[in-house]
Amino acid sequence: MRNFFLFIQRYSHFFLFLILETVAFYAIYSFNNYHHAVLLNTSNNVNGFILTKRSNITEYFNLGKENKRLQLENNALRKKVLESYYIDKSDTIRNTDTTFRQKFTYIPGNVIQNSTDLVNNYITIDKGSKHGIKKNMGVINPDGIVGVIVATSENFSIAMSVLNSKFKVTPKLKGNSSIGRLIWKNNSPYYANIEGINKFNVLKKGDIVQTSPYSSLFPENVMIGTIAEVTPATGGSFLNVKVKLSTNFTSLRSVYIINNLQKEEIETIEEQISSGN
Amino acid sequence: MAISIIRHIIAFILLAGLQVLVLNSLDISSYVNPQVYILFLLLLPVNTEIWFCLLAGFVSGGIVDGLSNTNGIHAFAGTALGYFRYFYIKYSLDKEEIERGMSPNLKNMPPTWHFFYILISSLLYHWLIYFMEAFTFSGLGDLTLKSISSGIIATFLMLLIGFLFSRKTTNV
Repeated sequence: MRNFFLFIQRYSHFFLFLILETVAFYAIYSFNNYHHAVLLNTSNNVNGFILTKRSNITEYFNLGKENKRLQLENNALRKKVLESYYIDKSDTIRNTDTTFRQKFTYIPGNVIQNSTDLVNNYITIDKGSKHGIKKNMGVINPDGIVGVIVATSENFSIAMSVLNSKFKVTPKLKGNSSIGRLIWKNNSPYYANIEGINKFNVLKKGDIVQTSPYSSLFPENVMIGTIAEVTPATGGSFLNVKVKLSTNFTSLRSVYIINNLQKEEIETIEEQISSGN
Repeated sequence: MAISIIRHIIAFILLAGLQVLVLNSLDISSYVNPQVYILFLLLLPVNTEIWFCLLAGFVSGGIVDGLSNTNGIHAFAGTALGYFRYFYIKYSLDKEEIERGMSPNLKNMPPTWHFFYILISSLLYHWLIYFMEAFTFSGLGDLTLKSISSGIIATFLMLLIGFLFSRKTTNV
């Protein structure tokens, strides 16, 4: 027994080393595996406060670019409002109240922390559960998709970026019925890949990739990017499609968090089916 | 002694501030993301007890983790660096030099020793954070390239910061 204590004492620094590394390891993997925020992230108030202060200063440097982006978006949206159209037929009855029901609402937010160099990148947004943000809400910006919320605190939330090895979204090609899986392969913050597209499809460089109607995170037809390169996958009947992402992840600023008003309803039905089986 | 402790704490706050508020938001390339706050850990006096090196690495890494959404990667690599640093100093310096207890900075140490000490520590640290983050051997080439490019740039930044701010300490 005495020898045992001597042994512990002799190598006490090694045991301290092991204990600390285990704690750090636990912190890394409890977050990555269960999307469960533990101590070391930016959603707590102290860290969020510091990053918000930084963001308040740095936002001035990109103000011009950001204004132009929002102006372009406003312009595009203004074209879509009903006041911009005139009625061409005399017998058309406009009954917007009951024909159109709102499915998505948007919560504006600002990015206060973002990385692009890791395999699993996360984004911190300065809005939290207080503003109605919940887990599994999609995040977009005027240029395209950004990510999905994985953790929230009262004032802040953390989103998994598209630039994350665990991010998945079902894309669709504009004017083409084929769909696949969009994944990011940790090579560049400007490109992602689509897998699972049959090689009999004719794809061209420059074709537009958008979100499909099957996702409950994003509305249909949100821009993802444009096709940059098409190569046949080795030993299969699929194509490797490289997509230039329309969102510039190195300069994220204004984002919108998407609240799908029908999501609960859809999930209840899906639960009924799976519990019925 | 007390002044020395306060000086090291201030050094950490300034370096962590530089890291989190400035360097983390510089998006030069996804291959260049230098971590310079580890200079604080590297410049602790050479006779620092090992348990203190380990704890300092863990706590400082944890603070940087909290501010850069990395959930323990820096705490992990910081602890490892604290351990590495202890043995690097133990086997590369004489006993007498270690007992003098100076900070291993540019003014106190031979430039070549200081350069390799910073370079090797920096490469190890960057490789560890990228490896722990990915935790797979599949993208090993890419993450090694990332850690070499970030590690070398971090080395030069740390040498520059050390050149500007370190002072000659004869005895603490």
